Amino acid sequence: MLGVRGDVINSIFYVIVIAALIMAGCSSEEESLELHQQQLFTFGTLVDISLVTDDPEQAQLAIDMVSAEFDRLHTDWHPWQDGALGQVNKQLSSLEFFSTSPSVISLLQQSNLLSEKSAGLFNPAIGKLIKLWQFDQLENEQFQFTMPSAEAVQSLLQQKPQMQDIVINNDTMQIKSNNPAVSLDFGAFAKGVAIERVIKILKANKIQNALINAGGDLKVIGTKNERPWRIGIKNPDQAQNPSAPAVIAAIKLHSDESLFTSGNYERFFEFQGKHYHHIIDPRTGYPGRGTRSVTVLTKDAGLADAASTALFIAGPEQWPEIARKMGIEYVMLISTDDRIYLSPAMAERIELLTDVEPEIIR
Amino acid sequence: MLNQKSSVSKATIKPADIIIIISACFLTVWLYSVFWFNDSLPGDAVSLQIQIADNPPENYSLDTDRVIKIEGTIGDSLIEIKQGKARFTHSPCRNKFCLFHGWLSTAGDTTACLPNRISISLKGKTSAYDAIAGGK
Repeated sequence: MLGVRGDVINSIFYVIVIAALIMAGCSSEEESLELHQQQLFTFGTLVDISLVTDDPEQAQLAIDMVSAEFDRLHTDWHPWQDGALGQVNKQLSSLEFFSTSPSVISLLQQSNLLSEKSAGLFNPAIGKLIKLWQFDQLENEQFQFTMPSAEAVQSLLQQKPQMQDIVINNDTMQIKSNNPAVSLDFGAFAKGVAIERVIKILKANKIQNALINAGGDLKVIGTKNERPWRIGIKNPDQAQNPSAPAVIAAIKLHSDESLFTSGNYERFFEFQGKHYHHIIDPRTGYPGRGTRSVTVLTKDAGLADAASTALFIAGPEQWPEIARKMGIEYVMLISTDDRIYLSPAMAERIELLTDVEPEIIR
Repeated sequence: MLNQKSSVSKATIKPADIIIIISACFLTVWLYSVFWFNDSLPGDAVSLQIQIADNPPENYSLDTDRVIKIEGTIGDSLIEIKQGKARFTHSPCRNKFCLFHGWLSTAGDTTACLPNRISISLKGKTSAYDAIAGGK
């Protein structure tokens, strides 16, 4: 009887040892640092913050600072509300010098240069055109979209609003416009610059590993547990075709890299069965044609933001030329006829998860 | 101690031993099935996380098909869970970008209704991606 009980105890002992071994073999890789994630409704979008650190208090402090900075910049840089840029837009038509905030001057200076490099395809001076397309009303629940008249579009185009119309006096922190048609809208730039700023805040707070994803546009620093950050790029097909795969491509990002996408499926009005998306071509005054989405990889998030818009407008024919001018090496463009164009550098890094054969453009 | 006891008994197989051996086999098979065959692949979502405004997110299992009603800032949104996927099926907002997003099917995929301040994300044990880029 004692022997049977001994066998029982022995058997249970061995079973437990085997079970422990099986469990050890099956458990996933051990994570030494912890992942802290938080979602914020800010900057007119959903911002996902992922921090990898061993200090949870530091992580929460950093997340709070990032949240406050996004809120502050959103107010400062909103083109039609009462913040600093809203005030600027009210005073520009006076065509006289007036004072503004350093954060607006810094946006103006950076975007001046980028607008020139993009051959005017990135043009934050067309705020009036964007307003004509009523994208200032996109968040207004009661609003009904109406097609802008061709005359109104043409009349704004003929006045050629551009960044060169703005004169900046650095000593007095004053600016003026030489063109009454100029109104500023940094919708294609502000998010990138804001991400760049919050990344600086994270680094100043000793956060070394982070991913900031603001509505699908993102920048990373450091690593995710000593491997590169793995990013899936959304399939633009999925909006119309629910059975399409969610992700069209995958890419690994290294420290300080930004990945920005401009797509015609992001923000749009539906009017009489047609989609009118938010990326307005400054040459025609109408939503850009020929492109469904452009994804740009580069270090600076502000540059990535401006370039993704400029290359979207440039379209399937002209994008390689504009990418060169703007110093962008990594580009993927998906056209409205479902072709996938890659720059040679992008072709080497991206993993396409589709049967479409990409065209590599030099 | 244990070894001493077992060395006292004769090395003959008794019915209890057979029961133990059989149960050990079953336990091993069961452990494999739990930790190996049923283990989700990277990218397989196991739960749906719903966040309302700045409240702490809540997790919902993807195992049961159902429709969840969530009260947001401007009204009620409906979220459908079906066959391990999730999507918005009704929203009080005007633009319905949340509906246009369609099904979330991969861990890490997220969409939101900004006017109603509701976000939904699929979570996995191990995600294939740390983030999904390109439009919310």
